[in-house]
Amino acid sequence: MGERILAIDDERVVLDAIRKALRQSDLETDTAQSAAAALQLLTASSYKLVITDLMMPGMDGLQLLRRIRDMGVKTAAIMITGYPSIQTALYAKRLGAFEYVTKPFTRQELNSVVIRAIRAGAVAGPQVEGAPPPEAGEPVYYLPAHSWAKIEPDGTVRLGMARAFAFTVGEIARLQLPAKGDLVEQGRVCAVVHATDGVDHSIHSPLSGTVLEVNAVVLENPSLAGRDPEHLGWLLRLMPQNLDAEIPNLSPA
Amino acid sequence: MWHRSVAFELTLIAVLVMAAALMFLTWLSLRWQRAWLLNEVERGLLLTSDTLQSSLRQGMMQNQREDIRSSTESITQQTRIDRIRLIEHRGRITMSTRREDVGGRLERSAADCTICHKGAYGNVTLAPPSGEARVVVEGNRMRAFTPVLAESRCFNQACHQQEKRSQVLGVIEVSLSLEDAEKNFARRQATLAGLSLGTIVVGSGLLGFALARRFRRPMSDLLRGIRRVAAGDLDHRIPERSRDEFGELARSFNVMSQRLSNIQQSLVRSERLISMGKLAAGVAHEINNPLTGILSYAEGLLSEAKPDDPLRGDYAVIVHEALRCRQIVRSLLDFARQGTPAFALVSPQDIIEKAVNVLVRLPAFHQITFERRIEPGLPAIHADPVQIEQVLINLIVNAQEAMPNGGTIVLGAGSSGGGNQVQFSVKDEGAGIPPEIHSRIFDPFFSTKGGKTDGLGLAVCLGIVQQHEGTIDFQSEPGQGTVFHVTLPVSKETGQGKMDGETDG
Repeated sequence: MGERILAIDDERVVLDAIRKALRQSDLETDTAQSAAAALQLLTASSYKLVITDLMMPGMDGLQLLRRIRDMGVKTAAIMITGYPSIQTALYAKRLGAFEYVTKPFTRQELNSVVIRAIRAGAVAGPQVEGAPPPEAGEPVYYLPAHSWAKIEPDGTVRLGMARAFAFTVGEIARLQLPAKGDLVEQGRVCAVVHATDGVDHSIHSPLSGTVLEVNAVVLENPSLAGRDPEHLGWLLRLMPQNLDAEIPNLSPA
Repeated sequence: MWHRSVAFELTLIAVLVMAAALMFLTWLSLRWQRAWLLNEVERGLLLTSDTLQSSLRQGMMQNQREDIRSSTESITQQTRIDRIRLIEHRGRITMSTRREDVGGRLERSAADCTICHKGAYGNVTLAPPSGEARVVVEGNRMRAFTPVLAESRCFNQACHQQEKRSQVLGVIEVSLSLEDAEKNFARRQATLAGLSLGTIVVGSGLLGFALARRFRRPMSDLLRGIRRVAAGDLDHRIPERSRDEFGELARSFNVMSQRLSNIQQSLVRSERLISMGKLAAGVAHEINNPLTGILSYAEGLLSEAKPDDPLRGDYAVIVHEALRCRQIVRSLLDFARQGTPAFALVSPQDIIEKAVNVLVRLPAFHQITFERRIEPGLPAIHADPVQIEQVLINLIVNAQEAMPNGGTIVLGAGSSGGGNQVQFSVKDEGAGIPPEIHSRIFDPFFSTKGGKTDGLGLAVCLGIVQQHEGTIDFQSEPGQGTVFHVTLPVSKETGQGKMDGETDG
């Protein structure tokens, strides 16, 4: 596997932004302004990671991803999109994208995802969940590689970080959680993990709702979230807002 | 254009009917008058004829022809009687006021004879019994033929010695000119016709004036109203002057204009909403790439600046503002992407309870008291429970923000529209909405909260309610508070939009 990263976008300024951002993580970037140019580069050399825009004239990001897989190239991919709905995001993931990044992104946001993708050594195919099998009949749902939600008997929802996410962020220095009463939305950032290596990673929420309770234990002891994310390391308790409509977007355990 | 007015048409119809009736009456009256007049003339003629016969009786008995002549001639000179003839039963004219006729003979077939004599000789088929006179009118004259009956004395006289068998010795013909009577009649006819015509003219004038007065004002009010409404002035109202059909028409017209105005307002709102949504989405997508560049380069400048670089603060501002732009764009896209409702049968009370449940634990609501006024026995409605809950949450949050020092929020639900609709209401005791912004509060990105919110709350509410084919409106009194009403159809079939054939979601 090569050491370089391939970025594809039809706009020069976005490619520049990606290159400058990744230079912070000491990553070198090749760029292509179309899917066709990218395919040529991919046949000539191998890459550690492909970052592609979703909407491009001619072949779009999803078609490119499919072509790359057809070529037998298993390089991990990150999809850059406008502001996606949870459905488009999950669709990109099903097609083998490790993660999606929304435009416009900060350097920190892009680096976080790129670092996690490289760490995960992610390849096409099913996401490594790495979770112990849940107890039978337990109503737990996953936003793949990000977070989980467990529906409690009282109708509230407990949510936490997915084990695969914990695995890619490394050691956790600090957690930034919303306050009681705040609203969180499915597929949007619900918590930020400050890793000891200085990179911040955003966790996307599995469901929408009002925050009822924040796990004080995990705030005190953030490493718990990394070591035991499914149990003592849970993050928030929510009053769900749109449970019936949102559950189908998630993967069952 | 006057000749196309209803008043003119009505006047015309009324005048035509009146004229026809008057003309008929006049005609009838003239006919009767003429008959009466002729009758009178005839009576006079017969009287004259009788008088003449008795006055001539002596002369005839003594066969004093000169006497007879002189008395008949004096009659014709003094009266309108223009001729008197004595005709012997065989047709010989024995005496006439026109001397040249005397001695002449009338044939059996002569017109004057056939008045009484028809058929065979001597057969007086048409003779009136007992010697009554017969009257005929021919052209301009009326003539009476009075039979002179035989008396026993007559046969002793030389003149009728040989006619012992005859009962009628002859006739006295008195002829009267009708010229005067006709002139008289024509005068009456002219007078009556003139009066009728005058009545018609004056009557139609009065009628036209009255009708025009009665119709012109309400009609011109109505016409002006229709033109104004057609020109787009839906707030124009017609004065409701009377309690008759015109008043009813004006009232109905005003109700119609009001409804049109409401519909137009909601159409304008929803069109504005849709077009702003589309525009927003388009702009948002176009702005993303340049914004990526701005953010990236500004972050680059900031990270490469030395700690004492005087421009550090400026770079930080660029980054911060670019992130703010990003947040605005995301709100726009969220707004443009509002999902279509997932319809289900839900209880209005449940929706209210859920909305309250979400909010009641928040610190901002600690000083808020909720009061519920929910009509018992409300039907379940066909709606997206999550979206309607969202609407209520937005309205309740607005109500809370209108009362920063706390207060009571009254939540209502009741049936309306004859049971086909359910109306939710959210009422606060806050400062009220200033009248000058009433027309703008549903606009996307309109906010009174000084940039603390995205200004989409009510636009989202309106979008959701319209997708449910419902309505949202409000009443607000400065200093008294505000009440928002959300009216939803109980089922889609009873909604306002059932004609567009949408299927259930």
